[in-house]
Amino acid sequence: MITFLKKYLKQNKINLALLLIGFALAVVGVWHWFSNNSIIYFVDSLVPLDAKNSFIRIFYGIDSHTYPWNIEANWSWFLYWGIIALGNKILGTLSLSQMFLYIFLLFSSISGFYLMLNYLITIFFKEEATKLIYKIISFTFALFYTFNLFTFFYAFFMFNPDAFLIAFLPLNLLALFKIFPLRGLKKGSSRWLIVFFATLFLISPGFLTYIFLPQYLAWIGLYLLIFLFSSKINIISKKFFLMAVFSALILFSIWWWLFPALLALKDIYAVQSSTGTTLWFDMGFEPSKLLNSFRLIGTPLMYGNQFSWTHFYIDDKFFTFPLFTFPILAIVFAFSLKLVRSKGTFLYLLIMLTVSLFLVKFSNPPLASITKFAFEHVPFFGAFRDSYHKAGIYYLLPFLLICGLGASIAIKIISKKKQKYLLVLFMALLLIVGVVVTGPFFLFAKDNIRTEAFNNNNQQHIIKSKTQIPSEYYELKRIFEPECRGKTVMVVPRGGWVSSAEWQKYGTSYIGVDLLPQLLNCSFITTLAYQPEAESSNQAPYILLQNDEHQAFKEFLFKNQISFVLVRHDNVPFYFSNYLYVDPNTTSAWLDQDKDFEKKVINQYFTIYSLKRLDKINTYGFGFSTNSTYINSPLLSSAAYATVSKRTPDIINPVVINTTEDLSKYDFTAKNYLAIGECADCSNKGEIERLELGTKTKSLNFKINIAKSGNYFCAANVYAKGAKINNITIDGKDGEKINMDTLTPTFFGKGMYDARVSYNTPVFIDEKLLSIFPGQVIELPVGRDDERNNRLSYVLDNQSQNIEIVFAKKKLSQSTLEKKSFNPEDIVFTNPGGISEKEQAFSRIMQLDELNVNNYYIYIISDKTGNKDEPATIKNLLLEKAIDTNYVDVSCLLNDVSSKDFASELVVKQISPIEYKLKLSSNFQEGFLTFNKTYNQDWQAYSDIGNKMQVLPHFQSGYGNAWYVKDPESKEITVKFTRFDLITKNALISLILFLILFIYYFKANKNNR
Amino acid sequence: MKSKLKRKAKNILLSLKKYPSSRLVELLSSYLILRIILGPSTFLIYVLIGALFLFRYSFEKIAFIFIFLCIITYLFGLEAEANRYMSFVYIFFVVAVLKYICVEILKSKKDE
Repeated sequence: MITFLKKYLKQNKINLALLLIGFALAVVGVWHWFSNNSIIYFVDSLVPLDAKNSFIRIFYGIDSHTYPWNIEANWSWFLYWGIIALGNKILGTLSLSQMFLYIFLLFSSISGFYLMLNYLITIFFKEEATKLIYKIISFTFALFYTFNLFTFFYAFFMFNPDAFLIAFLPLNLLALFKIFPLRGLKKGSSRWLIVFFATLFLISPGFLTYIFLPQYLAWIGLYLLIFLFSSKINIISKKFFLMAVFSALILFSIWWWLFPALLALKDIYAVQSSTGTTLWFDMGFEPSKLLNSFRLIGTPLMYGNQFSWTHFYIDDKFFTFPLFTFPILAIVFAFSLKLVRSKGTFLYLLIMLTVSLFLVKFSNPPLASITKFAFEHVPFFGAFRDSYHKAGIYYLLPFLLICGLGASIAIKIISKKKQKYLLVLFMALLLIVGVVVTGPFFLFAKDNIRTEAFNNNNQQHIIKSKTQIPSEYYELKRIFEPECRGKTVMVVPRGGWVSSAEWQKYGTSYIGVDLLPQLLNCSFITTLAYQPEAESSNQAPYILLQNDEHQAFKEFLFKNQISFVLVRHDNVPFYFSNYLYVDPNTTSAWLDQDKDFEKKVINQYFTIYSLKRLDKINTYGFGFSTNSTYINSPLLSSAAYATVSKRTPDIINPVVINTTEDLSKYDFTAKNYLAIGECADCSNKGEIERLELGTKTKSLNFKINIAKSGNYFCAANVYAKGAKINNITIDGKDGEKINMDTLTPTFFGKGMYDARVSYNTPVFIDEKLLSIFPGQVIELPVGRDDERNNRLSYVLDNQSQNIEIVFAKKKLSQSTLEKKSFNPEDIVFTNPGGISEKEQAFSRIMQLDELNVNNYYIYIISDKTGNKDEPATIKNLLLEKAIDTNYVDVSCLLNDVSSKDFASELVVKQISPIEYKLKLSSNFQEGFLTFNKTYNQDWQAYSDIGNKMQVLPHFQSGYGNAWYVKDPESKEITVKFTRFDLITKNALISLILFLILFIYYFKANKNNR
Repeated sequence: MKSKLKRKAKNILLSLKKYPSSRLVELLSSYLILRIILGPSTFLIYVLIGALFLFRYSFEKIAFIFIFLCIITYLFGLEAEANRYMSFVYIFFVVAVLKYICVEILKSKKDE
């Protein structure tokens, strides 16, 4: 054994020495990211922070509060999870395990590419390839492949599992080349088969970006086709059969995770393409132009994530000039290809490069119309919206392989001339190229940790991607996790797409996927749910809090089984990481006073308030009640959910029926009818238009559809702090206008009614008439306006003077006003008004920075040049809070009959997050079982009666699930997400079939040799 | 008459094939001078491509020529024009690949 090892080391000492250098560079490249026990955690990069919690989320495909489908991760992530979890277990720290993963991937990338390029050089030059210089070239390009702008931005600076694909694709393709050598090449040993499938398994986390998989299959398929045609294999032959088995093996090796992903693909695509797929193409992306992408620069992420050195790559012509070497080397290779006999493998790489580069260049010439056509007409082609990323991996590999081959050819040409200085010059050029290409990892290592700077209350805060999770989070986990079981938690303030924190005492911070649901196995309504209905419902309590509707807020918590309000004190509000901001201190102050809540201080960063009414309810979101409410609204807005909560009976999970089909089935249970008005003026309007419309007239027209005749109580809401409803008028059948009194019922017959809601908004400045003479300045102090949406309107009569209205963030000096030399940072806007014979009316919606509140001033400045005897006038100058029409509604409720609530008598046992056993109350006869997780038809409830299974009828209640139960023979009910059984069975069958086929193929392949 | 013309055309083509590569400098210089006088012009690029075809330059060589033009314009700060030349580099690179594929297919058919 030792002799064999010695012999092996002696034979491969150069390879081993180079790979050792590669390993050292991988360590050096990332070491400082993980020093001081830190991790890299930034924006949407997911790190399995807690092994158990992450496993549950990946295995069951759940999000914290949104069942089913965690769109962030699927089963292909098990390897990623496993490496981090195992590393954490063995090494004891998350930091070391993440660093180990980074080094493992970087080193795999270097060694895989090195072996691949070595192989290609060998088949290009035959025996000459053993020379040291070619090995150095292979190694140099392996470094370029591993450490470059693309890998830095798309894989490592914030971790993206694409890194798995980058790391193992070269070895995977090399194995394919060895298993199916094209004409004139030698077949590799059977061990390459193991390498192929092992690397395919190692790549699997990288396929989380689904578009990588069809591309991978297309490129593998193309190679097999080339092999099939070039080898002239008969369709009715053993060889062809073996190829079919190989293809089936590829499919089975990915099917275990692909099948569940495919079941959710439609939903995911719908979410991700919600802004429209052609929109991205129409916007274009100029930095992907060939001048950049043919030189390996221009990654879109570089523009969104700027470092102190980014300008070198974006603006500096001379810094990136050496990168012209790449296209030159590619052409050198194409030029020399005619000298090679077996061109197949190289042509395959060239096709891969040219097609992927065509996609990478996106909307830039040449022939962008082809890409446009594909975006418009090819199904799912919109997945290529960030094409530099989506097709980039399949362009990066062949491009650098071809450039590496081009460099080897150049070396050969130079060597033939026997002029050493040329060789030195060429190697120096490659060194310079290397410095530029690997810049983000080495040259600019001093500043390659991403930071995000922002202002809050005019103080600068800086958040870093290099972070440490404070012990307070683990303390919260230890104390709170056992308590939150079976209950739901809302967090104040609410996170946005991502959440953030600043831990001053530790000098660390984070901005990334919310840490709480990542660490704690609790059900949170915190981050965006990506499901419109559930998302709207999650938003509703925050609207009520923001609007100071405390009673309605408490009712909402009770009705939706939200037992805890977790107040975070480590958040500094920032637009990217906060959504519908509610101040935690204000909320805490109010909750401290309210006797309906019990306070528990966990530590400096967390305070928990539990709603006493829900103390004994821990039913995992299940409820049981007798009656239902029919609502004629699709319930897609947060305002609608807030209103429904206000107007439905005060029970846990009130049942909501909102389709006529469901009403026809369960009309005998519908004791309440709630008609929510549909705004007649508001269709398809953008935010600014909605704000203008909602504020200008301060009244909106609605259509109310009354589904059942009866005495209705009508009420309206305007969900904006300080705004008040004035009156509601409904046009009766006879044409008379009925002024609605919210306390007195009014009879309405079945049919459609016109309604009008008028309201007022808080006014900050209201000047009826102002006169101004030439050269004069009028100063109007506004004060600290912390409203985001404001409207400024006035009527200007200036027949002889130019008048300028300035909205300033602070008091401006006399000289600034005289010179009109405004610093853009000090003003919100200026509106210079030219001389006009007619009165001019102005109206403007202003969105102020509510997280950086200023002491605002309005200035009216008149030109000195006007007629001194004739003043200009400004009439009805009004600064008021602007109202979004989406937050105004009117609703009419028939029969406020309460429903019997059995939730407190319900016993729920959680088998798994997708399976529950429920025991009904013995008093229960008939009614609805509800489950407040996102509706999906695969949630199935049934009662077991001996060998018989009684499946309960299922429908959507609000965003959640409801089943109708009548005289069940058994009081025990099982609720299950049935799709999961299919998924596990599929995984098992795929594994068995893969193993059988693999053993067969391995043996047959060996015999075939 | 017809065969005479045919022969004449053949002779011209043969003479073009033998056109010394040093003349490339003259061709490119003429192009650059015209480019300076007329400004960036797609028509002029097509004329250059036509001339390069006429002189029987391979697709790879034409790609080289365009990368040379790309580098010159890039150094003069004319990024849009440099990008246009790079587009032609890409096109000729693709055409060169397609040519190899066609040759391989024909060779494979011939072997059959």
